[in-house]
Amino acid sequence: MNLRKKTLIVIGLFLVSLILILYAASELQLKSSFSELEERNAKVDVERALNAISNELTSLGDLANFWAARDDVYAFVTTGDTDFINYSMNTGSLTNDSLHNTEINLLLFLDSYGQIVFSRFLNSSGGAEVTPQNLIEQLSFYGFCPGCLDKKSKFAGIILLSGQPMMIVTHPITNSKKDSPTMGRVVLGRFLSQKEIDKLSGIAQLNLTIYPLDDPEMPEDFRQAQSQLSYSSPVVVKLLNEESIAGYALLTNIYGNPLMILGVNASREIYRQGAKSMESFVILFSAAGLLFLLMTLMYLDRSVLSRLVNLTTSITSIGRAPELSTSLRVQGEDELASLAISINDMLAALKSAHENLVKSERRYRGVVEDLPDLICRYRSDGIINFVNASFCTFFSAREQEILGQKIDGSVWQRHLKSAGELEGKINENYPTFTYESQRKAPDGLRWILWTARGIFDQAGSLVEIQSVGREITSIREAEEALRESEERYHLLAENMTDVIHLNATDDSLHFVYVSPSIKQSGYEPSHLIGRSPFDTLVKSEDIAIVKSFLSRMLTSRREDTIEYRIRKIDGSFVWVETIANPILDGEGNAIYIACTTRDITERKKAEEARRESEERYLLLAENMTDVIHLHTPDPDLTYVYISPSIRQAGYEPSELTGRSPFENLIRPEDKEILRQSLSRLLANKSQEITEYRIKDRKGSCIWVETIANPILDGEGNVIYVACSTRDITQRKKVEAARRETEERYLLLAENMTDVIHLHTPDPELHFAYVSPSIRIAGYEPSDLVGKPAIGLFFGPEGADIIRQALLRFLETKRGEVIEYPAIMKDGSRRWVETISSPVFDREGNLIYIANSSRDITSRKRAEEALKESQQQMSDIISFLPEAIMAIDLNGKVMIWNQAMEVLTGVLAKDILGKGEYEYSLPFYGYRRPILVDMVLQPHEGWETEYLGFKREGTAVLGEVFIPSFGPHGSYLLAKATALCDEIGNTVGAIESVRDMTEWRIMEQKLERSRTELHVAAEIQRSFIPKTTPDIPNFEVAAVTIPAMEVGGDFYDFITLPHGDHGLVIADVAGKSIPAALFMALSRMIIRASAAHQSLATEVLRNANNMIASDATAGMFVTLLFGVLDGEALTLRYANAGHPTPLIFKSRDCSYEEEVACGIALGAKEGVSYEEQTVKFGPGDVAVFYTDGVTEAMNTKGELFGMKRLIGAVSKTCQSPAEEIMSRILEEVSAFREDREQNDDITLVVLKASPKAEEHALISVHSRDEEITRVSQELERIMYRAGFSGKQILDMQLAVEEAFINIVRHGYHGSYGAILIAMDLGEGRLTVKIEDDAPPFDPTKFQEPDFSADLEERPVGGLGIHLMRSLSDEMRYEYENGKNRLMLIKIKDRPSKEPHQEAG
Amino acid sequence: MQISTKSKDDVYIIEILGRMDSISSKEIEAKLNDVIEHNKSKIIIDLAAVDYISSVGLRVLLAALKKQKERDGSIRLASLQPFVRDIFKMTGFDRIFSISLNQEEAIDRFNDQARI
Repeated sequence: MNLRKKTLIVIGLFLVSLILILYAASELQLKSSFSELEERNAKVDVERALNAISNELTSLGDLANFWAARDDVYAFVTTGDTDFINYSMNTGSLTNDSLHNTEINLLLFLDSYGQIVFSRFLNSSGGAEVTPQNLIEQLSFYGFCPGCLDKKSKFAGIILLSGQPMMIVTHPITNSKKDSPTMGRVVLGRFLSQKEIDKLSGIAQLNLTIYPLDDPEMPEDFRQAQSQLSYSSPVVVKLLNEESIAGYALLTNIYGNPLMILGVNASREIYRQGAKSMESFVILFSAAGLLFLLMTLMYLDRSVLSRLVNLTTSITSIGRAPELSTSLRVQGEDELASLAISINDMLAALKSAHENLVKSERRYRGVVEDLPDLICRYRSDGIINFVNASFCTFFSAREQEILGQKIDGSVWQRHLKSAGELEGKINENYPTFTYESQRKAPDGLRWILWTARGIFDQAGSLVEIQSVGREITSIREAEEALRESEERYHLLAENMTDVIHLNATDDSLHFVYVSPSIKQSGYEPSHLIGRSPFDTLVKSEDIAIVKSFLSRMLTSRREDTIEYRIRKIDGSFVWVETIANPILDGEGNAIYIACTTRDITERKKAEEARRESEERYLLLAENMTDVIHLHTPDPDLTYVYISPSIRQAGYEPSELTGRSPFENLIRPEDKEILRQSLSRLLANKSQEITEYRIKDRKGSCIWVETIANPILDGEGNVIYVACSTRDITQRKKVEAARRETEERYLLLAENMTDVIHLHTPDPELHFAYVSPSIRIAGYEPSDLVGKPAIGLFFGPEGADIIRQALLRFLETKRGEVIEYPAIMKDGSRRWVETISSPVFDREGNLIYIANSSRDITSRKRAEEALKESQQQMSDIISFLPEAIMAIDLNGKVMIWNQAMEVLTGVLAKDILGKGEYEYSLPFYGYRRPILVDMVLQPHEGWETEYLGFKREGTAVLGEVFIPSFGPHGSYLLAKATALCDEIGNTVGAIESVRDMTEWRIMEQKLERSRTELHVAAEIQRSFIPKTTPDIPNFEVAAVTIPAMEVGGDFYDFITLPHGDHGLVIADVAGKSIPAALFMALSRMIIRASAAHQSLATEVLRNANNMIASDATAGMFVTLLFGVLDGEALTLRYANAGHPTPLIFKSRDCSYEEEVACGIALGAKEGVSYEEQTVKFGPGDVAVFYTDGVTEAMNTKGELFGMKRLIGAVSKTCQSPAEEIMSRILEEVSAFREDREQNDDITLVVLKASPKAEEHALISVHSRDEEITRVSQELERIMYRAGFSGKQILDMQLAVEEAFINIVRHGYHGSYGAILIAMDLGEGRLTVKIEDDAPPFDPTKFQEPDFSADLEERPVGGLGIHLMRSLSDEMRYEYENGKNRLMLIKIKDRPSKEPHQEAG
Repeated sequence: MQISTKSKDDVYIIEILGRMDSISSKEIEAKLNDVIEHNKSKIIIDLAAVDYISSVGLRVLLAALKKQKERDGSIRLASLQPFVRDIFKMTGFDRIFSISLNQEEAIDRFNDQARI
């Protein structure tokens, strides 16, 4: 039933009952008063009738009087004089006419004896009739005995005469003067005939009827009236019918005996009039009521109901609508309008939050779509429901073709694992599984690394799988290449291992043991054991050296090293180095020689090469011109002149002149040497030669030698220092190298095994001479001499190289080193290195070409392997996804990989070898040092240029934002480290650059989107009460912690119309924005519903109808609404499907279960709710919660559960509400461990204030200052126990007076202890004060007179007076040497005895 | 506890803030003695911010009043708070001291006396 119908019914019922009540009241009140009035009227009428009869009698009496006071009558009666009679009978008043005119029917004159002396009797129509004989008897019979009457009385009455009623009067007869004695009587009678009665009726305007009592024709009503009539109720009124009412009275005879009954019949005019007016009044009132009803309805409908319905409909339609596009129409300025406005505000906020969410969702979707990773989602039954663009592209399929397909059979689907395959590999706690798959693509095999993530429902069964694949082909390829390369190196390393061998100490040095690594040389260990190395192995030329080495070593018995050549099994010779160690027996004789032998051919070669290059550099150095420069002899050695040859170092003379070499030029390490040299020169005034290092323009280091000479003036003072400086870098290097290698060169020369061959410079290069060492190649010198070398030794490839070299010889006339494959005697080819020199005759003609050749095949092989490996490494670098560049020490680019090309748009070929910070151009747009430079040449404070700068081992990491890089600037993360060669010398630096822009922008966007959601959450949070209400006798603690930023739980406190407190806790089904919207609506409806209603069941019923009437959107809310009565300590609540509250008894923290009931709001219309009542004892606790508490989940997937919740409260049920709540939250949080909160948590803890009982014991010293502590404790305890402020002050003062009294008068200012105990219980505070001072009983203290004037007033005694006045009771005892004073204060009852401020 | 003083014409006003208990009263006593020594004949003690007074505090006020009487000076109390007013009534001090509803009234009273 909707509100409108309800209102209609309520108001209608109200009006109808009002009318009914009014009608009934008027009916009762008016009718009875009408009847009463009617009755009274009837009675009056009867009385009037009686009066009329009595008037008739009176008038009859007057007539009788006329007859009775006449002299003639008197005479007649006395004397019997008939004159008068006669006269009167004929002409006088006794004629028939005359009597008839006076309506007299009976005239009697009686004598004094009562005898009739004269009588006249007329019938009722006036005809004279004979006086009945028995007249007197009749008269007597009917109660009129004229003779019995006394002589003087007058009588009047009614009698029956012959059955006819007659009014009769009798007067005594006197003379006219009335002074004579009475003589007889006159009797007058008048029939009370119908005519008479009509006359009377006419007079009284009444409808009179008279019946004799014994009249048999008397109607029934008269009979009934007769029975009711009595002396005490002389008049009776009876309702005859609707039309008429009748009054009855008895007519009596002259003796007062009832004779006849009189009836007065009247129509019920008054009653009818009254009834009629009442009818019209009721009709009028009903009409007015109906009008009022209609107007009220119209008004209600217009101003409240229709708007409320509209509001509800709008809200519901908004809730149902897919988008939050509508807003509510606002009308007027009342509460409904403000409700609508606030809903609008909230809608706007929600809408903006929702839009932001949608936007953010779109952004994220965009990102997902654009992700290079392959993303695919499919259900556990294998139906694919999402793929991103990368996925489609990778498998060259369209999205529509994939979606809805099952994951078996097709190309892409082989890569995805079905739920069955994943079973056992993933579960709720470890939802991901990683695997690899391969795909044969047209351009080769492609690897994908998949991460399948299971999505589980609440029951823990797998519902969906999301697989994310990343193509790792390049990584795989690189790994593959690396692995291959490593294998080769390994092979190489194995082949290069030193050979370990043990030799005997005899002359032949035969092998005792040879390690298998000898196989490098082609020999098997078994071949050699037992044989002498001199047989075949050691080159014959070296046998002598080896033997002398051996004897030297055996003499010294110390480890030694020798280099010599051996022959491999293929006949080639290699240089080896053997480290030999004599193994000694107990007597110190060498029994074996342990050797480690290593192939050093390469080293030898390198040494040779170095020697040659050093020579070349020396030549270069020699060509350098010395620099002449002149300095002033100040400590800075300022340049006065510098020769232009300084340009060799890259400087211009002009920029150095006037400056000091110490500024930049000289290496910091060498400055001291130079200063010392200068001071020596100035002291000795003699030449100084110094060697030191300077930096050239590019920062490279140059060794120089300066010869400095002092230039003296006439007095012998040094005025200039003249210097000649020469670059000695090469010399230094050569010197160093030469020192090291001189001996070895010598050795080399001596042991030269190279083949020397001489050719004539003809096109075929005939051999002119071949040294015997050619035998290595299998030839005999004689085989070759005179033969053409081309085609024989040089081979076709060699021939080309030789010919080209020959042409160069003719041009440069200088020797050259060439490498070529030479042909051995057996036809095999070996790489040969030949130092080829032209030999000229004196005229300068080329006569021979002199060659010194050696076998470099093994070196060549190693070189080639190395070169290949290097190529591979360089390829790896080149194809690494990370952008990489490297520079050498001169700042020239060595490496610029493909990723770098992509990042910068600069191709490697355009930048390799470029220096001068060329590589910074693509990043910064100008030349500057970058991170890689910082590794080689750091400058001050460079770290600060980078965000998040840090060091990782030798590498440095930093991020920069370059506004000019990329369309909107870029965040680049760079990592740089020094590059070292195998010896550990720095040869350059390498830097990798990663573009973090997208990442950073993503982070920023994510942050912004979070902020927006946060705003929505803030708005929602503002609905939650900021503070808990002050409910008398209850402590309240409440909290709600949303799981997402926008939650669906809420609690609320509502102040109800009668001052009670409403409590709401609710959980909206669903999450996030729709739940939040619904939550706000529910909250408002509950508030609106509770605004005029404080019956919980009604509030819920109304709220449910409002929510349910249109809530087809399937939203519902579980909600508990309770009304708290702080005075009665009760909670009356109704529950709409919410978890029942937990009630804990304070006594033993026992838990009592409440009955669950009610259906969630919005689920079904027209539901009613049952009321539950909780009666709290002091300290009892009620815990209200949402299922977010009990269903909090830990990492193992277990739920927190009721048991734990009850446990948490049981442990703390004696604590304040706030602590109980904290305890629950702590336990939930501890239980959940690292797991995220999965649902909103809302808790309301209600605690009936515990019984106020407290004890405090304070021990203080007898010092005034201590009173502060005591006062504070007193205030704390009393405040908590609910004492009023005035009572607290009273007690503070009383205690202070007692305390000060003890301090000053008990201890007299000396040191003593005072123990103060405060006990609170049963509404009273008892403060016990104990001290050890001499006994003193303040209760016995005689109070001084405080009414005395100022001068006589005592200064003491005030304190005790105050103690006594301000406490409710003061007791004292002395026990065990202690004074014990007790001050008691009884707590006021604020409700019954309101505290009155004095004055 | 704080004591602040000010003068208005020849009237010297002492305003006390806080509790007049056995600890703070010593300070008040020193201040009052100082003021009386300086021959201030008209003193108003404003107790608007005093919500508690103990017998020690009462004695300090009484001693000051006696001293001042000896010197033909006078002391007026102003703005007694409910609790303090109760204590004054309870001890009969309200009959000894001249008490005004507030500072302004106290000043007026002094001026009235001056006119008479």
